[in-house]
Amino acid sequence: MSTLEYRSVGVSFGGVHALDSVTFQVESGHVVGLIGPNGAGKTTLINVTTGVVAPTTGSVTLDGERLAGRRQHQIARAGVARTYQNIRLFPRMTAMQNVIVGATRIRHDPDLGAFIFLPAVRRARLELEEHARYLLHRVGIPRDQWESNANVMPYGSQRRLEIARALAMRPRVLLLDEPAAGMNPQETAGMQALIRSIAGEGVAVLLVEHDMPLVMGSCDRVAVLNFGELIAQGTPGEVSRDPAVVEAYLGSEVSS
Amino acid sequence: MAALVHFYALHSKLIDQIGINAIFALSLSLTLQAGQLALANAAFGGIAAYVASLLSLSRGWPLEVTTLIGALSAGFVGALIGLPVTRLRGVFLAIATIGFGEIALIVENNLSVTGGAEGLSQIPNQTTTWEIYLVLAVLAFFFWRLRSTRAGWAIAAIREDEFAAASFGIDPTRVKFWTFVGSAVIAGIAGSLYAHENFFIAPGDWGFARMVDILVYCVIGGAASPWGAMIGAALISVLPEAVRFLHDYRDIVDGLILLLVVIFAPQGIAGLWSRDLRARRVAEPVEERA
Ligand SMILES: Nc1ncnc2c1ncn2[C@@H]1O[C@H](COP(=O)(O)OP(=O)(O)O)[C@@H](O)[C@H]1O
Ligand SMILES: [Mg+2]
Repeated sequence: MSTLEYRSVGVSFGGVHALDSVTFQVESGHVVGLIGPNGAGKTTLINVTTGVVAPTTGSVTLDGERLAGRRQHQIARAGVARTYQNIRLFPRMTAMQNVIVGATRIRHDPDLGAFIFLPAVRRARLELEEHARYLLHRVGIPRDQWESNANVMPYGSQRRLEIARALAMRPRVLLLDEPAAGMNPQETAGMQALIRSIAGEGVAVLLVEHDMPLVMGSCDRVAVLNFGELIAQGTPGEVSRDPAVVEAYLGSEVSS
Repeated sequence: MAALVHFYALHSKLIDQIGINAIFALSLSLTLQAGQLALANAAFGGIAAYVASLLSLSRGWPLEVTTLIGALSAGFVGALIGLPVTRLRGVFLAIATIGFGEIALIVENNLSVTGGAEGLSQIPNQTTTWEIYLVLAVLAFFFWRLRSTRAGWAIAAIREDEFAAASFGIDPTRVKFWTFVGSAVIAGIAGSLYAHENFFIAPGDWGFARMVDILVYCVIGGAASPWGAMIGAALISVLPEAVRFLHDYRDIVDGLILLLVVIFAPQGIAGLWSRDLRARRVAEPVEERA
């Protein structure tokens, strides 16, 4: 069991308070939705978690282990994976290669083995490729795109590849930044099933998303950010009835 | 067979030069593979050349030993300047490493132990063709195998996007540091082999012009491809010899080729090759981005 915990996390950029005293937690096996208008601070919270941005106040811990203050690659090694809202794949690598890079840190074949043609290294490579194919299949990327460079893949596949690459790390925590952006309702339904199955494997999932049906359908709990402040949290049902939330959203999307 | 012996007798000097230049090209290709434009390889070659030559002149040690010590010295200096310098990005790294090269030249020009502007002469002529090509073969093997290792994948990921690479547990600072040091060591090997091939060395052998030569090998071959780097080195080394009248216009021809490659084949020879392969494999429809 892993728990990702935010305690009074605050971030300010110059004078702008992107996050202000945010406290909540994500437990393994659960999907917590993080919603809020554009500029509310959702991506900033992911950046704080992954070491891209240092919090001005408060702490982020994973099973009591401090994350904030450590460097990006160290936090990743602690088991925190993410996807990027503005897709950030390795553009001139194939889909397969992107996933293989995602697995760089969990590979256990010794580097030196490659130079002496150690059979174990070859086996490990075949397993790695097999696992990469499984992940590409799991996130729903058509087989004929597996050998295409990431930068020429259709937009929807690029979003899925972001997830496959993050899963390759076998993370304890997965932070998804608008994974269904630009997807049609049918694709979004597939995304919902995928997110649930990831949580089903014991991963703690934080889902930043604008698509309300997806949030309502896949999240155990929902936290609502507005101008950097957490204005509500609870089950999807509770949150969608919360007057403060309805007001922040001008009563439009949440009730749908 | 006799024809081959005859060919070698005629061109042995050129054949050696091609091999040494190819090693220099490989040294630069290591940092280029990690997406770093570090331009101190000529300087590192020079450092190793001086260290190795001084040892073979004063101690009479064999080439293998002096080259090893020379290359490790270059690696050591590489580690010292690599610590601050590999934190720089893009053009800043290029400028800092060029600056380091200039400092190395000034030092070599002014120390008495390096023979000042005159340089060192009567360096024993120990480098043999087979040793050059043995080193080249070992390095080619190293680069070939490196690709499939974790380190190789980390290097490639950093070239593509070091920020994204870090979010998968890859430490960009560490990878860039070690590629820089490795690059210095390989350049050092080339430098020592060069010194023991040429009878004498001077600071001018390791200046910016030499660095540009090495860069041209890699750019022509395809910046991030070790194979391309070797082919580029061979091509540029042979060209002025093959086309005799070009000899006097060497620098102009180099510049022209570089210009043509950058304009028409920015991925170099290796890029032309893989672009062709990929086009044959999949013609993927590119959808509109939302
Ligand atoms: N690196 C940064 N430097 C300065 N301001 C930033 C930075 N990142 C985000 N912000 C600001 O913080 C606020 C929250 O942004 P963001 O977290 O991207 O919102 P969301 O993801 O909820 O749309 C915005 O006002 C944004 O302009
Ligand atoms: Mg955002």
